[in-house]
Amino acid sequence: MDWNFLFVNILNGVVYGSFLLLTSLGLSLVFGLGRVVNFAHGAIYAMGGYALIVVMYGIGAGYWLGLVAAPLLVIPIAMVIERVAIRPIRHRPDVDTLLVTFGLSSMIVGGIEYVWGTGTKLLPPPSPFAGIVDVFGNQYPLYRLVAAVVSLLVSAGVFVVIQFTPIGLRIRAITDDPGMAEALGVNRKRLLTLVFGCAAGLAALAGALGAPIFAIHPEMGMNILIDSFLVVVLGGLGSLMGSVIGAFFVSLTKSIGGGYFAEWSTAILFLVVAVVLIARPTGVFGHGRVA
Amino acid sequence: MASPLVVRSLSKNFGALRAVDGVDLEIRNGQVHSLIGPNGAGKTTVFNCISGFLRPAGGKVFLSGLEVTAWPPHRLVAAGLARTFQVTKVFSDLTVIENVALGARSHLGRNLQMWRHAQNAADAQNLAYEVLDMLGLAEQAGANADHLAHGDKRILEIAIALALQPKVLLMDEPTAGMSQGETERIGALIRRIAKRSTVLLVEHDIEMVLGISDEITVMTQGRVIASGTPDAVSRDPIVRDAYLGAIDAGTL
Amino acid sequence: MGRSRQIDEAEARKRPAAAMLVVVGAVLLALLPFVGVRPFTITLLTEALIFAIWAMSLDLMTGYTGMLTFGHAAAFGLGGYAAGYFAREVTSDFFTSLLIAELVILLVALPIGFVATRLSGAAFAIVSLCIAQVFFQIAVAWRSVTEGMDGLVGVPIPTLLGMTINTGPEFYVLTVLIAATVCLGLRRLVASPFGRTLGAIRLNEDRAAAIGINVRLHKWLVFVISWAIAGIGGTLMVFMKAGTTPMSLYWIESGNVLIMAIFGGLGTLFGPIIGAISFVFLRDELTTGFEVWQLAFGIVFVIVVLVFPSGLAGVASSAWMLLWRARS
Repeated sequence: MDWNFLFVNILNGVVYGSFLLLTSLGLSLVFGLGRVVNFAHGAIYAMGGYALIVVMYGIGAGYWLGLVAAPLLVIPIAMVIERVAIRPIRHRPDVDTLLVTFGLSSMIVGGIEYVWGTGTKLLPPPSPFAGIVDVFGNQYPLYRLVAAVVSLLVSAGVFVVIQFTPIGLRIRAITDDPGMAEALGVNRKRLLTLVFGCAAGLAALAGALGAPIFAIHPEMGMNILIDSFLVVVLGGLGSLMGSVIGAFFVSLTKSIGGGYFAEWSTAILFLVVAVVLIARPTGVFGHGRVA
Repeated sequence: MASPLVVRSLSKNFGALRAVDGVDLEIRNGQVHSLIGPNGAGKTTVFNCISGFLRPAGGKVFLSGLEVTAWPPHRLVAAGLARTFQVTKVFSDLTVIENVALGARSHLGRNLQMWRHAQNAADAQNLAYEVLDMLGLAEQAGANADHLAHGDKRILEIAIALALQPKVLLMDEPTAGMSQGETERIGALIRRIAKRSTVLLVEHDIEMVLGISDEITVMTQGRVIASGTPDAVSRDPIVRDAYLGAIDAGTL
Repeated sequence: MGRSRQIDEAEARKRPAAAMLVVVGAVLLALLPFVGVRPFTITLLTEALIFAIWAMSLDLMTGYTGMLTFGHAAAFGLGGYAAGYFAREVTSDFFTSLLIAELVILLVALPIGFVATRLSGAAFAIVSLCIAQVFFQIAVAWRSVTEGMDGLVGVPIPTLLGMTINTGPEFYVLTVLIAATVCLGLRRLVASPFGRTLGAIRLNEDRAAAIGINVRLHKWLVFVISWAIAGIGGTLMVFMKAGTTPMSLYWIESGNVLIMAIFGGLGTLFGPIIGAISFVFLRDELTTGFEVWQLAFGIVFVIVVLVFPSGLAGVASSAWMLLWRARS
């Protein structure tokens, strides 16, 4: 049993899981609050990577400035998208928002391809962290650990906001009972636009953080989108705790499975999800709404 | 001969709330049996448990002696149980006759037929027209179900359920939102229906219930507090207590 | 009572007329190569009709039964891979390859459909996308069978009862015949008692269950039938292109077939045919600048969805029904 091999795969799983958590939290929040399933989430992740390029190569900024700027660029764009393409049809059956966000995904990816072409761009990790460290006797890229830590910190920040701040309380109340919005004097539509924007910011941050690890290309968000869907379906749409468990379950299964079963890891993951769904159609955590 | 519908010790919880707590019901053949009680008494929950839309936490349901507890709705229909809904659920954008024909074809076991044209199932079409005739909706057979007046929509609900030729018909507040005249019409209709099927009724209109029921069961807070003939129930001190003169006032 | 019967009879008289329309249309289409239409247009039409078969199968699931899927490329691509692989390794006989493809699809769709149809609405849509993506990844990774990203190549020209069906007018006529058969078969299915239950399920699942319809069973059947028909399209496509790649399973393809069905009109069966033809010819016009296509497609998609006033499921079918009713 090659423990080192297993250990490195676990590390990879944790790193990827931290990004997956960022995107899944965003998906889950937007669904819980507004009943919108955002198919464009993967494309927004990609926008994060490209926004990073724009800031770094367009105005010559350093990586860390780019990392802060990328989400800040994407959030207002996402809020405009929500306002123009999603809010007007929220009262319609769910299928319509699904279709619109699907189309938006196509649009965004198409727009990226139009401007930057379909090629892959590599981004070196920022200099202070570009090296290799020794983790329990294994060589591991330092940047990955740093990126994972940043993601986890930001995720923790999201939790703190949701659990302990007044606005988080409002979000939770309205997620549980949409009628509460009026009782609390909250403009639910504007809150949703704001949350949508922030969820996009999280996804964009994940994209920017992941860029030095996974490279940048127009379809870069597709895989993490699928994985995020698996996470929220497993954990129950709207359940934040479910997203945490789900994110690491999915990422660890993929990376450990990938290490030993190579190409079949995704099929195995999907099999597991299928079994879970047969047993519990509302996801492992039950209270998430699935349909 | 076994009673068409027997319910024993039915219970259902929603989290910590005991919505239905040990409810017993027995409905005899050809009867109109009404279930009444204030809002939140658990009447619709009982209905949902009997008709397969909710899984009871405890208790048993029997249809003509056959145990059908927690059966899914489509199996219950095959066993002879049909229901109408509190909120009208006719099939929008389909014609009136098509709405009823859906029920008729289902009753005649045609649901998995993939080859013949639906309208060629003449027996189903005939059954559907018969039901519409009986309920006075035949003139509007070709109309879009959505465009019917509210009262007629409620009658269409009943028609769809009748097309299933049920032995037991559960009716959830059939006269909700109707005028006095329409309510009387429905009341007479229910008595006619009871000649062929047994009817279990949930209602708020206490006058109507007293007028047409053979037996009444009163529920409050998930429990049965009285059961008997309309006369006996309206005189029962426990019931009067629970409603403080509401029965005299004719409202509940 | 008499007047209602008249409605029934009037509608019954319309039925053969609509079927005649399909037959006549098919004959006219089949004659096109022989009246001087350019070979390139014939090729486009072949592709369009293959997509039409695929789009009609989607319409059955999404337009009639209300099960929105973002993964219909899975069925199409799977059919293509199965038929293509078999044709290359064993025999190029068209119907045998089609049969094998259908068997593979059944083997896959039955269990997957059983699980997937436990879900509804958004969850089903999401899971269907995931299924297709998993197929895509398997196609890329299972190099020994699918040859990965390079794709399956060298699929031979199909034969039918000994005759070779060359690309061009011969294959085109075969496609027209198959498309017409699928169209007529689906119309029959949709008008049958089973087909009517699908509409009931789409309109109100609870009510459908309450009138004795076994909703889960029916959804499962529709899933499998829809996949099987999509597989016919996939088989035709793999022969037409003499091969296939994992891109046939990609989410973009699933989006394409959706827009074809939506554009043409969900719940009408004829609509997806028109949608498919429009899509293929439009794309040919616009793909001179390929980079623009994806962006333009996305914009059109979003606009179409935003503009449809009463949402997808009800729009086309109610418009169609009102049209028929107005005529009587």
